[in-house]
Formats: sequence, structure tokens, C-alpha cells
Amino acid sequence: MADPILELTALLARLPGVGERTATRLAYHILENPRDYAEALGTALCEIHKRVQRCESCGNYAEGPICAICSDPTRESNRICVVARPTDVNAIERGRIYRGRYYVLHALLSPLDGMGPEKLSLQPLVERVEKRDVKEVILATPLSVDGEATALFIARRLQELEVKCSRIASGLPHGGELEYTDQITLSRAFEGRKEV
Amino acid sequence: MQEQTNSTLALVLRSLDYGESDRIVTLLTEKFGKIGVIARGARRSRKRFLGTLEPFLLLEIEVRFGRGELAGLEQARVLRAFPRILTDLTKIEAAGRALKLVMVGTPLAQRDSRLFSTVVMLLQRLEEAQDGVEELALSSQVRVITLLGFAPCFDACGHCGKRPQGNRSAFFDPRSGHLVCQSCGGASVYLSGAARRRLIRASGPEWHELKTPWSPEQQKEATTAVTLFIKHHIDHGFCNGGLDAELSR
Repeated sequence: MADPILELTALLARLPGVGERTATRLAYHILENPRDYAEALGTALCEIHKRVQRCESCGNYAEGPICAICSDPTRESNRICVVARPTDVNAIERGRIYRGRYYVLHALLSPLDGMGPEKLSLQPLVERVEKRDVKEVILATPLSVDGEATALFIARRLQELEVKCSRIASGLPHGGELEYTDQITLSRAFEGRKEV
Repeated sequence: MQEQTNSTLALVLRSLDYGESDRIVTLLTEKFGKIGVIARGARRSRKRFLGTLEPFLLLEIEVRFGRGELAGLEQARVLRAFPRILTDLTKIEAAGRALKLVMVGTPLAQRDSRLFSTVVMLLQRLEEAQDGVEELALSSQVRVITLLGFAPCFDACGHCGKRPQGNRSAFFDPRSGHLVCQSCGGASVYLSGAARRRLIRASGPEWHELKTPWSPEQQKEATTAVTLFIKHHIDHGFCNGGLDAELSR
């Protein structure tokens, strides 16, 4: 194999979820396609850091200093949904059920891996809650040990600010079968049951 | 020859994404001690290992040992969950510190059923605990380091062998892991007689029987001694009360 191909394969293999085999396949795919495609890809990769930055308000990726959601006056500014990653914002937006704003952590506490609160940037969130008359903070971190630890930590950090902190519910998925559901999900589904 | 599948109880100590769809998991097992396994397709399949490869779950697993360093994880099912631990930050920290200690301090593939049952007992007690979580956490740490073979000595001077009489206070040297009496020069960590007695009890099989609550002074003295000992001997990054300390700052 020629060296440039190896080099590209090694770089592609550093992407999350891409193993060496897929990286090799991608490298050959790029090589076998018209040159324009490789050039457009290369330009897009070079530009990404120049054109995209973190929103000064919510931390999500944006083309300017403030993202589209934070600058949209029709969004409820007194409700903030805290998520771990920018992709979580996309997931919630796809659902079209939430009209408030966001705060993206870009990290989670990890009690087992020694990831402490110093890695969590919470000061901008605290300032937003203090200054902008926020009524509710919805903690939508993952339902894993790290996600739960992070949600509990943020809730305690915001306790003295007299803001309502809520945690997203967890339970059975739509179309899910009880038989195949794990114990934690089942116990939460029972705890969070509603009167009908 | 076909490799055999072995079933055992297990607890997840660490889980890392690997390649495109797999996960490498370090487990503390009842039969084989600490082992590394590869859970193939764990991130791709929504059925195979869904929700099982998380800490604070008692699992029943099937592993296949081959020639490689990692065994193959064939199946995992949750035998017991501890959902109330996940509702309390102090409990998550307490359980997390114990699992990290086991992760760092345990050699691979050395079976120790007492260590396994100590960690399961801790999760069980944390699940049920209304209060005394920090005491449970500290006692479990002392028990775990004793089982790991580090065994700090809280009842005799390491230099002259003299034992403090009855309920007498003493000085503990975290670096050498034993008491140093005043005639031998003393040491950096003060331990009251009550704190010392509790630490000695915590190193034995009755570590989890906390009949009377520890006073804040006893808790502080014992925490200092144990944390510094662990930092010197097992895990230099070890920290007791990290998140609590951050919040109260």
C-alpha cells in the first residue's frame, strides 16, 4: 500500500466508531471517486474549525458567536435543557417537543474514571440562571452512572439559586416489551407511573 | 478444540469503547477475579448487552476464554440492580471510589471471593442506607485494602512494636502504613483511640456493621489516615469526598 493511503487510513481510523477496516474502505472510496469530491472534503475539513465555534451562551456549535437557538426570540428563554453533547440537542430538536433553550456540557462527571467537577464548565450556566430569570433547568444528561452523577451534581450546585431543577423521565420505550426490559428501567417506569 | 463457556457473577469496573461496535470491559468476577473481556457488538446491538455493561449492577455473565488476553463476553444479564445508589451523589461517589480502588489495586485473574462479596455487600448496604454513607464508604475502603494485601496497621508501633494501651490515641504514618509511638518520634496523622478502634474493626469481616455513628472528628481523622495511605500505596490520584468538597467550597 502506498504511503499516502496509509496516512489517510491512519487519520480516518482516529474518528470515533471507525476501525482500521472501515478506515481503509473509506480511504479507497475517496481515492476512487472524482478528485472534486476529495477536494471538497478536504476544504470542508480545513474550514470546520474556522467556521464553527462554540456558542457563547449555550456552548453548542454555531457559525457565529451565538447559535440559532439562542438568538431565536420565539424560544422560551426561561427554560434551559442541559445536555452532554451537541448531538443530544439535535435529537431533542428532532422531536419538536421542546421550545426552550439549551446548555451543552461537552463532558460528564465520571466517578469511576476520576473525571471530577473541574472538567465540567458550569459557571456560564450558573450566570445564565442568575441573570436571566430562568424558571426551570431540565437535566437531560444520559441515563448512565456518569449521566446520573452529573445531573445530581448540577442539581446540587443550582440548589441555592431557587430554580426548579427537573430530570428527564426514564421508562419503557414506545413499543417496548416488559419481558426484555432491564431491572433499572422497569423500576423507574414503576416509580414514574401516572394515574390514568 | 472448542473453547468452553464459563458462567460467573460479575461487577463492571470499567468500560471502554473499542473499534467500531465493541466494548472492552474490566470485570470483577466471583470465579476468576479481575478479568478483561471484549463485548463484541455491544454498541451496535440494542438487544445483546443493553443496559448491562454499567457499574453498580450485579451481573450473571458467560465468558469464553481463548488464547488472547481478553476473554469474550458471550452473555450478560442483570441479577440485581441497585437503583437507589443512582439517586444520591454521595452514594455514587462511595460506590465509585470502592470500585476504582478494586480496579487499580487488584491484579488480573486472582480469584478472591471475599473481595467480591465485600463489594457486593457495599452496593447492597449503600442501596439500603438512609444515612452513614461516608462511614460505609470509609469502612469498605479499609476492608478492601486489607483484602488486597496492603493491610495498614492501626494497633502497634511499626518501629518498637509497642501497642497503645486501651483507648489511647496514637500517630499513624501513611507512608509506612503503621503507627509510630511518641518514643519513636511520632507521625503525621493523629488518630484518637475511638477512630483507631473503628479502623481496626473495619479491616475485619464485620466492616459493614456500623452500630453507632462515627463522630465528625473520628470520621475526619480516619478519612485522612486512609486516604493518605491509599494515595501512597495504591492510587496516587485517589480522593475522598471530591464532589462534596467542590460543592461546599
